Amino acid sequence: MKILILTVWVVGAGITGAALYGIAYEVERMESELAALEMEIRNERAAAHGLEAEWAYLARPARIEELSQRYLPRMRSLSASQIGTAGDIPYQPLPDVLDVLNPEDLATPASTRIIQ
Amino acid sequence: MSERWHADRIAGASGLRRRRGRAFGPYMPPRLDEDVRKALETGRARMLVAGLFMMLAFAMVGGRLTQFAILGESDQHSPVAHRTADKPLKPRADIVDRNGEVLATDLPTASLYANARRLLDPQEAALGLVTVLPDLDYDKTLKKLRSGRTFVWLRRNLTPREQLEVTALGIPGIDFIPEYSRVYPHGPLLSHLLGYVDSDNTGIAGLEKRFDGTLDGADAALRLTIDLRVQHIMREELRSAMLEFKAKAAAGVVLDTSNGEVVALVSLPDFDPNHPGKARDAARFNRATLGVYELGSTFKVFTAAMALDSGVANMSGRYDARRPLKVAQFTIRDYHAKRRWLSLPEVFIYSSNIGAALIAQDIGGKRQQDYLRRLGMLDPLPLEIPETGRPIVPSPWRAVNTMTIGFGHGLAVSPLHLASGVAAVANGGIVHEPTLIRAPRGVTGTAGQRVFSESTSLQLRKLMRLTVLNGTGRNAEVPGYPVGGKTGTAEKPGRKGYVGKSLLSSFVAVFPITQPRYVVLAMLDEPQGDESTNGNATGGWVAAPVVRKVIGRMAPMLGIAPTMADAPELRKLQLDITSEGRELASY
Repeated sequence: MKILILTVWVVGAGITGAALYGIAYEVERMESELAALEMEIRNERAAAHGLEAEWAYLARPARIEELSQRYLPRMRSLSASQIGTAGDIPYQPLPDVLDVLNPEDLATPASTRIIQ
Repeated sequence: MSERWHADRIAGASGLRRRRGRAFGPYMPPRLDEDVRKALETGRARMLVAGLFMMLAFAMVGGRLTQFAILGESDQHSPVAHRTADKPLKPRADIVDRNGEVLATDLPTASLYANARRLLDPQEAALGLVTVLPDLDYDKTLKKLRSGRTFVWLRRNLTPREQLEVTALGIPGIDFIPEYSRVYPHGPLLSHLLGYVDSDNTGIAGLEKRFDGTLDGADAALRLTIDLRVQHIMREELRSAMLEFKAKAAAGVVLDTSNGEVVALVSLPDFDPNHPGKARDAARFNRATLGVYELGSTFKVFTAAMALDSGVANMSGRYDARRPLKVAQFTIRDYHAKRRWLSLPEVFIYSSNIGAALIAQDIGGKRQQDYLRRLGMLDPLPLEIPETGRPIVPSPWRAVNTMTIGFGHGLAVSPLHLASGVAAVANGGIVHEPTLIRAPRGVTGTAGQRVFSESTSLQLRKLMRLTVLNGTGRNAEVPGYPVGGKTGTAEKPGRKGYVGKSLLSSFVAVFPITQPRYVVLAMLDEPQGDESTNGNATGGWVAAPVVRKVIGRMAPMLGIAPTMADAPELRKLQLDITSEGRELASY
């Protein structure tokens, strides 16, 4: 009886110890993984930050203006006469479906006609 | 087992002598009762104590082992604790414009230092460094390397390439410290607003100085009210006008009339905040907020508003502008002299100094001061940069001061003061403190204080519209975007009173005049007229075109719908002054 109890204790202690070590090493591994990930995030953030600064430098209005003058000479700045409201567009009634004499015209898309 | 053996065992070492004695003497039966039992108990107690002690020691060793296995070596060296205790160098927060465009940011760099005691050959090290970093001075570097100090800066903020090249030299005793360096991607575009930092990234001018504490280590960027695009437009147009008219300096402001937000603020000449050391003093000076000037006729906006608001004049009031006005030792003349009686709108649109002086006289000094104070014209602006100018106010405020201030002389304010005051006149009569910091979403700014009535504001909008249609401000009209405004041409006070030829020409516009959203101000310091302006260098000729171009470019960008020339809301602003019997268009 005494030996049985002792065996149970010893085995129990052994299992607990092994599990404890297992968990401890697992935690250590995860921690180093976390540290690596956080390091990576920090580096990525720093890189993104640098790229943002570079973007701000490349997209500065003075440079965009110069580039547009060089490569888009026909693009002009917008004038008030080019801006209108939806109401300025003349109203064009859609053709009434019932008025269409040949329904096939309506059903055939333009593209198929070109192919034929 | 004999009792004797027992006695011998228990008596132990102490019984040596007795045993010897007993060997020679006759046999004596041991006295078990008292002595032996006592000794037995002592032994047991000692064994118990020793056992307990051993158990405790083993328990401690075991516990410590378990602790090591689970928690690692010690708490201080766990990776989690390490990260929080040894914080990485934190960059200074960004400054962004109202749309989130980056205006100022921190980039990581490396700074080079030397431990002169660990150097093997200072001469060789100095030679190597000079070849890699050509801007280093050989003699100075050598002197630093021979100084024997354990820490001496060699150069701050190296680029990654430079750092790589220095590392490749493999000199012992020199090393890098990671640092952050402030970068302004837009160069001189916002120099006077942002200010700049010193080599330790401490703000020493502009917003960098004012928000030095909050920017350091903050996570969120500082969001300004500035619109980068409008700022660029204003700077470009001012710069080309400055070149065209050979002006010494220029300033420009775009202000939101509804809340006092500064959308653009330009002072020329300017400098590159990336290299503040190279800037001349004239370039560092912020003319839009720190400089105070007698701005001239643009002040007639306030004179007319005060007169109409207080009821000392109405639109049909008439003023004798037939001849120059003599007050004390001053003579007040008209620049665009009409030499006849003028109505209040005519005084305004032809910018009659005589008329404005007479109106100011009617208003009275006390009331004028009161209005100007409420408009903020007599105190430094509460803007969020340290560079704000204190207005130069006449003391004592004599009757002649009242009259000259009526047309903008004798009181020096900053251009931003003027823009802020005109915004209050135009927006329905409510003055807002100008601000550079965009309020977080959901937070509305201060309500502002009413200075003028709604009807006064409407009448002034009519007058400003008329100035652009028929008066001195015709060069400011933008097709599709109805503008109202007022010219200002001030003679600069020289050493011997006012010098006729050095002018301070400005134009302040409100647009869209039908429903004001922005005040646009342009000012040129000592412009020279050319053929295109018939030799004129007045506000209407040199500053009004700047305002026209700025409005023409910024309005479509900011999504302001154009107004047709015959729109009903524009017709409401028409001021009919031909009933006086004179045809306006002939002037």
